[in-house]
Amino acid sequence: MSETGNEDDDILAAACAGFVEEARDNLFQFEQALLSMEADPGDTEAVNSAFRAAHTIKGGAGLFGYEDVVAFTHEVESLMEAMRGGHVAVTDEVMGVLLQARDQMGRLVDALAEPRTDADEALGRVSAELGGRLRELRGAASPPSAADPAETPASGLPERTATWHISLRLENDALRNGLDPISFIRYLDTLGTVRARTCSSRVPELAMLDAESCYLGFEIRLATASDRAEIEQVFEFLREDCDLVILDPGSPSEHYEALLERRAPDEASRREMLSLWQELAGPGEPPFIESREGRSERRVEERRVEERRVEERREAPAGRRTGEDLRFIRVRADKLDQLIDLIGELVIASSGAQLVAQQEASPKFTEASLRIHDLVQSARDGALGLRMVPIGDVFSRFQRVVRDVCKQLGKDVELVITGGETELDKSMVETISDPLMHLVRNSLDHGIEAPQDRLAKGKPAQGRLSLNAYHESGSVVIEVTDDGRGLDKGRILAKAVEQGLVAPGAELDDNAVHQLIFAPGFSTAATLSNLSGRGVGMDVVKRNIESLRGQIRIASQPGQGATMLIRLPLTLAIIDGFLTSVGGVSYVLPLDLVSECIELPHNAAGCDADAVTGYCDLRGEVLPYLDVGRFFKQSAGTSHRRSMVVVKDGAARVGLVVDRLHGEHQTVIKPLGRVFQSIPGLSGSTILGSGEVALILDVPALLQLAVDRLNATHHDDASGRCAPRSGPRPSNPPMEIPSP
Amino acid sequence: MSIEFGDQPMPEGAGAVFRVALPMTIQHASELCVQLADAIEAGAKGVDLAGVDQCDSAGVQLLLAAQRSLATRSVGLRVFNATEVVLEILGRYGLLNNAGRA
Repeated sequence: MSETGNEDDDILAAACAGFVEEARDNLFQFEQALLSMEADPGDTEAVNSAFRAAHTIKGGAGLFGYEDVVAFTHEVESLMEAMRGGHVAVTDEVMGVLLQARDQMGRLVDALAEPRTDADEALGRVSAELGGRLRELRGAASPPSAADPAETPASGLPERTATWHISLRLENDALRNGLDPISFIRYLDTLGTVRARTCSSRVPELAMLDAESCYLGFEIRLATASDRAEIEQVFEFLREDCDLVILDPGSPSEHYEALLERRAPDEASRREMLSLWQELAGPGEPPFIESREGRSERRVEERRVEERRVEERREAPAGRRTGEDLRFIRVRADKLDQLIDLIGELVIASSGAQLVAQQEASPKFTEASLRIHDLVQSARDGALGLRMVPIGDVFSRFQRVVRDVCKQLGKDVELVITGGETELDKSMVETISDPLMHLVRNSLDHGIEAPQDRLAKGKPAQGRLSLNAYHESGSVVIEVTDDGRGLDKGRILAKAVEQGLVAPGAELDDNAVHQLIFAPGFSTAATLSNLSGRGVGMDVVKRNIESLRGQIRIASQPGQGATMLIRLPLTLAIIDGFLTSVGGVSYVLPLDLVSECIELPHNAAGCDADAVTGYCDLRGEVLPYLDVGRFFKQSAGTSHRRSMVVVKDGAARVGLVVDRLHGEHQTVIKPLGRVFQSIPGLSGSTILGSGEVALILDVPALLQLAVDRLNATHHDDASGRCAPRSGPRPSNPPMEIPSP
Repeated sequence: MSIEFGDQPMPEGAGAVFRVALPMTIQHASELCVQLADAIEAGAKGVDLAGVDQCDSAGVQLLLAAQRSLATRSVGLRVFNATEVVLEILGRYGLLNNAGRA
């Protein structure tokens, strides 16, 4: 094939990918609308929204010639049309079939993205069968739509058919831009009966012809039950490249006069137009123009009004989505990543400049570098903001899941979503989706009881599952809460003993017991369902969350319900940090987690020279602390005055003992190399303005390790099976922090 | 303007009918335009579309332009052996008036 052929393939492939993506968006809208209709059958806006979504998919598919998508979606759209007109009611059966149809449309679109010849036949069978059921529900007496759209009868009821006049003139570049009017005229056929005539007066002889320009115009009579918006939508993709005038059925003579004025600048073209119109006029139809009166101000004014209305309608969004489109631009994710990398480098360079400014002790330079620092900070926030998407998009997908699972299990559960506008990094949204799905299914399957059981316990028959998200201390928190039976500590512990995870008779606090369910293969489910219970889920959930540097905790009230609490860092790229050092090593803490800083006096009472962890008394609060240098096994520092940074993790506070505090420092997180990645307590590294490498502390993990250590040293004697931990016995009395 | 279809057998004599050997689509429109113009200059009065398996609006434009070129010589364009794809698009465009299809 020639080079042009290859380019065409590339262009088509890109266009197809674009169509697939938009079709998937539309399918999501379609599904949401269906679920709204199910919840409230009187919601006419939902019916309209569903119809528009199906119609848009059909339109796009028709443009690209995806006939099987068009044919099947046509059946869906026809049923929606009947529902819009009040001829078909919203019933369980109808909604069930429509949701199945949505899934089939999804499969058909997927087949475009990843064609598999072996699946074609099976897909075709499903389309035929579901199509038949959709037709049955519509109660259509007309024959099924054939593959050839020219044979398709008008989709509406015959008595509402009216004849519209469409006048289409294409811009010169239309064909070059890949828009062929034949596609649109073929598509019009699906709306009704089309009679078209071609205006060819502008076509020159061959010697003068630019073969790739478009000289054609069309006058069309369309007999259809569709409304103006539907007809306009046929030409949606052509809008930029054409001049379209649609005249209402029964438009008065003046409108045709006005159209003639607009289209025919000279006598020759006028004659052509009139002759075409004459051919178009059906038997018994009056001529479009009754009399040729002289122009009057009134007619000119009317024409202006008509043109303005047509223009307005062209601008007005056919559906909510078109309006929203204007606010968004599609950007490639890798371009965004490149930009953020660049800004990261800018952050480092800005720090470097500030450092030099300080060293040079030049006020002007210092001032300039501070200005740069402020701007860089704003740019950084803006760039990171670009990657943030609201988690509500993920939450909404669960409506369908909850509905389907409830039907399957015979349970009644209300899904309540709050905090959907909470934003997190786009890459995290994709990773967190599966774990959330598993947690939701778990709650539905094992957490929430069947309606009769709930009633027996004095609970309302309808269960409640809530998804909530919010920002806290530089993290995103996601909660999955149900009002079911909660976690059964006794059963979990028994199972853990059975599987050898804990020694018999071991005493574990609530949190430790709950965390047992994340062990691989652990499951207390008495029966396996095909949803959950095989014990392969929760450990994967925990691993996925930890791969995002997050944690998962459980809060449970037996008999009343349980909450899964997931905490994730706000972003993976750049953070505001707090710089500290121990010996010659610099450590950075996320600034949001820092609660306060305290200076420790030399030889504070009870300070054991070897202790990695311990407790101290902070204004009456018992505060666990961790010595960072000792934790990472650095050789003892020679600094006399040490400091403690108190960090918070949710409600818990822990002190981190370091040598020196260096203040705020914007940090670009660079990943640790493979060799260092598995070191606990570190989440990355960064480059300081001086060129030195600093290590970024993974505070929540560090805290968990510190707490584990403290617990382990207390339980060393009590349980033989607990993994022995190194570390001194806390034989010293708690350290006292002198008040300032 | 409508396209006249040749019911009679094709006239004998080389050059009277130009056989279209390329798809009548926008990719080949410029090339076909030159070929058609040359053929008409050389005396062709008709086109043989037996080999045409693709036809879009650019292709239709070529036929209309060829018709106009011949009109300057007071001759009508004759189309022979129009394939299904050609008839379909011409039909939708209302350019078939004497071929027995509305």
